Amino acid sequence: MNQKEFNQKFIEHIRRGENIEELLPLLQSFAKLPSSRALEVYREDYEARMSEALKNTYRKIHSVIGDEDFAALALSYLEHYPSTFSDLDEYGEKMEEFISRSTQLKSNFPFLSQLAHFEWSFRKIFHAKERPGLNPEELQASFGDEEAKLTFAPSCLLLAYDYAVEKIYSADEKTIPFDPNEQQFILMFKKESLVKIHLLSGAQHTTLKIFYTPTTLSACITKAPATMTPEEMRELFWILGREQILLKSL
Amino acid sequence: MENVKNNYLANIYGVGLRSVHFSYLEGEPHLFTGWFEIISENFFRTQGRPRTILNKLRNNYPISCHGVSLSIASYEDFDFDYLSDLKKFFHEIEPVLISDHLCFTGLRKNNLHNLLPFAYNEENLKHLASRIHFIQDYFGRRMGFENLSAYFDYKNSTMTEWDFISELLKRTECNLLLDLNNVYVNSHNHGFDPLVYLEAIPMERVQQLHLAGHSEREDFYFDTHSKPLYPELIELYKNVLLKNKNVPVLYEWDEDIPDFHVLEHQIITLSEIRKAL
Repeated sequence: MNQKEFNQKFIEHIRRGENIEELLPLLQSFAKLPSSRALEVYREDYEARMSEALKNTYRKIHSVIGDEDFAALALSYLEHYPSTFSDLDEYGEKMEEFISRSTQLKSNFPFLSQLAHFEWSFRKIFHAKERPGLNPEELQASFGDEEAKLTFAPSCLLLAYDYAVEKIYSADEKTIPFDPNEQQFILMFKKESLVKIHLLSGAQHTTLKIFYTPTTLSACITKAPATMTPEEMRELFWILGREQILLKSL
Repeated sequence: MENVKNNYLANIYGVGLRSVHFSYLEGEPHLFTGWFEIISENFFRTQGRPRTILNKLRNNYPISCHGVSLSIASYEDFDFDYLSDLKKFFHEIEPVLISDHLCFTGLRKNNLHNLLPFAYNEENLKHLASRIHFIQDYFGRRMGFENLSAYFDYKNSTMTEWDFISELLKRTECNLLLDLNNVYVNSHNHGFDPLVYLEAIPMERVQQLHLAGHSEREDFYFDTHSKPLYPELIELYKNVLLKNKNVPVLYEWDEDIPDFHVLEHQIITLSEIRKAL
């Protein structure tokens, strides 16, 4: 067997325990570390390393479901989605989709896939390039300017959940001392190298979504839902000015 | 950049830049360490806090870029998206050294993120030499390649690890990143004398040393980078010092990472050993 063929079989072994009868005769055994044990060492190390990477990204999911269930979730995820990334930190992007297909996890923790979406979004914003948008004066100046079409800065996401995902994420305790069945609308963005969050009303969220397509401020106000109160509108513009999340579209 | 190079020569002891120390380093403390080594893949595609800290540190400290995903011993094509991003990153960071490992890490569609061994024979010697020529041309500079901790050897190995590495250094212009803990771990697990290994290696081609601690499991040692210096490692370091006193040294600590001053204590100890010799 040449090295190329060996590599393929060795990798299949590490992933699924296959090919042991073909591999063992090719390996040198040592008194302190027999080759059968050496193969196990690579398997154990692989599972531990990949599970740890998922735990680093999905800390809250780990804390909510506990060590044992998280270990089972991680191994199952690993089986379905081998890494294709050069950076281990990028591993785990399909967790939301994976959890939403697990009927048992869904029945025990209905909010879990949305929590996975939140944690992956947090990771995305953490690594995104920070580019401050218009400050309050610039924002003010763009009112009435029909040429000034505005859109989101790159390190900014609008999120909508059926559950109180942010409350679950921020809770210190493993147990959730509140009713998770509460809709949440979230603005997540980066400012001064930190990931920050504003909770929004449904109407504020709908209004902000307009900026996914470059839009003037006056068009945004016109298109805002009828349910939007003047207080909500005032608060929204205060957030836009203070957090500098809108850019002029070029 | 000139200052950076001078600093590098002035203090040969460095440590790995790890996220647990970011807050401490943001306070700009006075440090003993003369340079930092980064895991390239942890920094090359992020524009987040890791990159902000790296950008600040590189103004005052030389940076060495150490990779874990090049998979130089793989029999698949290189991942050119990865190479292109890495080359751009090197251009921006201007590392004083670049390196990766003598290993394969899996397959393109199945990266195990582990450093996997290959047989020490002519087939792999030719293969690695050809890939090292290519990659050094691609980056336009020399690289260092690190010796592994390997938990088995192949029956179709026709030479020792040290003979393989020495021959590879003869056939290519690459350098060796000599990990003394890996030499020690392999010598224990595979039953050879580490001094025979060090005797065979051309020390003038060692661009950098790695020192780290390992864990004991059953009868064998496992390379965990989770412990302080230990006496046998210090003896190996002294042996290297007798042949090359100026080789840059990095202390690695990747699991159960302690406070920064504990990490620095390791390189302070090593520098005292060097002074006393």
